Amino acid sequence: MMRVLVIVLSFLTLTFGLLLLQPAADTAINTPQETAQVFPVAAGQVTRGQTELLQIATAPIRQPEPQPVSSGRNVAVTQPEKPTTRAVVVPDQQVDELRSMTNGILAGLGIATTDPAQEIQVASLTNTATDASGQRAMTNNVLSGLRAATGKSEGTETLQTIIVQALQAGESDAYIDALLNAAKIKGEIQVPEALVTNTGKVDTSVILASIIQGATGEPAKPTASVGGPGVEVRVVQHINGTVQYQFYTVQSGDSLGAIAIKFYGDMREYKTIYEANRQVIVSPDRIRAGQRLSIPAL
Amino acid sequence: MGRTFWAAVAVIISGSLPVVVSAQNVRITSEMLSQEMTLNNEKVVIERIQDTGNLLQGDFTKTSRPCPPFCIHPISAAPGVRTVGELEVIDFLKAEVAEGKGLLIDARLPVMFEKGSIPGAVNIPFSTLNPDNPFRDEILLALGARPAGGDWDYSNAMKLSLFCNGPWCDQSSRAIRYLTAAGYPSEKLSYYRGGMQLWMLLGLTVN
Repeated sequence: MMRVLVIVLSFLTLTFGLLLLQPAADTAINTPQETAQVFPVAAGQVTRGQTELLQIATAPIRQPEPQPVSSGRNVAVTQPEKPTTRAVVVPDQQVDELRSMTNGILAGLGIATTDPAQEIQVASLTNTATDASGQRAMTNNVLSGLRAATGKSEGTETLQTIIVQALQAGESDAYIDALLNAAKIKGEIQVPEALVTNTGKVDTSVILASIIQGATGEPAKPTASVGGPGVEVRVVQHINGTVQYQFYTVQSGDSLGAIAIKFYGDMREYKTIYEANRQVIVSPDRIRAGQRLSIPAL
Repeated sequence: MGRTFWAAVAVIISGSLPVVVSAQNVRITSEMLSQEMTLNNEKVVIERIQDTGNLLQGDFTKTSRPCPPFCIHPISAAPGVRTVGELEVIDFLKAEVAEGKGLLIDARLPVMFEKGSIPGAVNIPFSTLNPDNPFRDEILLALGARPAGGDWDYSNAMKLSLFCNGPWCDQSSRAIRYLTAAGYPSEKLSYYRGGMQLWMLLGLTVN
């Protein structure tokens, strides 16, 4: 009796041990043929199961509908405005996300962080708008991450860090202007295209003006009557009343950002002017003195 | 009675011992148990989860995400950009990232990066490489590109290996398209298509 029990037990143990010692044993169960028998698949047809939606969030980049530039039919406009094909409008919320992401990346790269109040000012300074603040933040995050990873600080200064340092040191506008231009010439910083004047310089006045705009939080308001050299206003009779068309002849030392502030009170509207004049403007940093730009009504 | 019982117990125990020993041996390859390297002044060990009973949990067990946007991606992200697997990613970390010549890029959004990524990876969300980001050039600059007459000189730029959530994730492919469109040389780029999905499926170290 006992002997039988022992024999049975040791047989079980051996079988059990062998099974455990052969990890391949359980994977061998599903041979391809067997799988094919269990799940017959129609020839050439591969389907994916339908289950509930995934919660992983992605931020779909929205390309808004092109914004047609107002153009009258019975108007003596020398340059017919075509609807823009690529009006890029980044929603504010998304921009904020971009802004914070950029800051995070910059932090990861080891970029010195500044106090929040100044951060906000500079955010509105480099892109001069809540529009781009998210992108600023996100880019900063990327840069700081990169800097932390590469351990490099040389040659990776940003427009932002330079201005923050200069403002902290209480430097004058002229000094900041010289500093930014020197850094741009050496290729140490990348300046947003709209902040480059047609003489190839950094438009520091626009940057500083946007700081003030950002600090006071005043919303952009289109300037009702803009005067000065280069401004041209045409009032045209329409069926539904009169429509006012504005044109501006680029002066020496203008940047697209400066022109946007002049007409719209907001640098970020440089895109509006750029899009309306794509036939004549190659890139926002390449406007020539003497160019006649159409200024669409907002 | 007692003697035979204990004999049986001894047989059972001795039979299960080798199983316990082999459970400590989930290697990366037969020659490589784990990989140690110093990334960004930090010692990093890449190894696999040793618990052979471990299963994935949560989002990465899903089979059917709606497509679009979560469509299955081809093996190649862009012409000339190499597609790599886990071993090449580990080699890249050791040979390029640890030497300061390359970067492993997590192209997902920060919220996902924070939940866990491949050790040594740097987060560059795909959207920051979009030409619509007015500050993108600062990132190119930080990657080692230099402005050269309105264009970019990438001769000293970093080698980049990009990944996102896996073969059903669009973000690293997009980032690669943005980079090549900006002139980044395709031979300096590689695409880890498996991404977090396969990295985690293989029980590789996540931080």
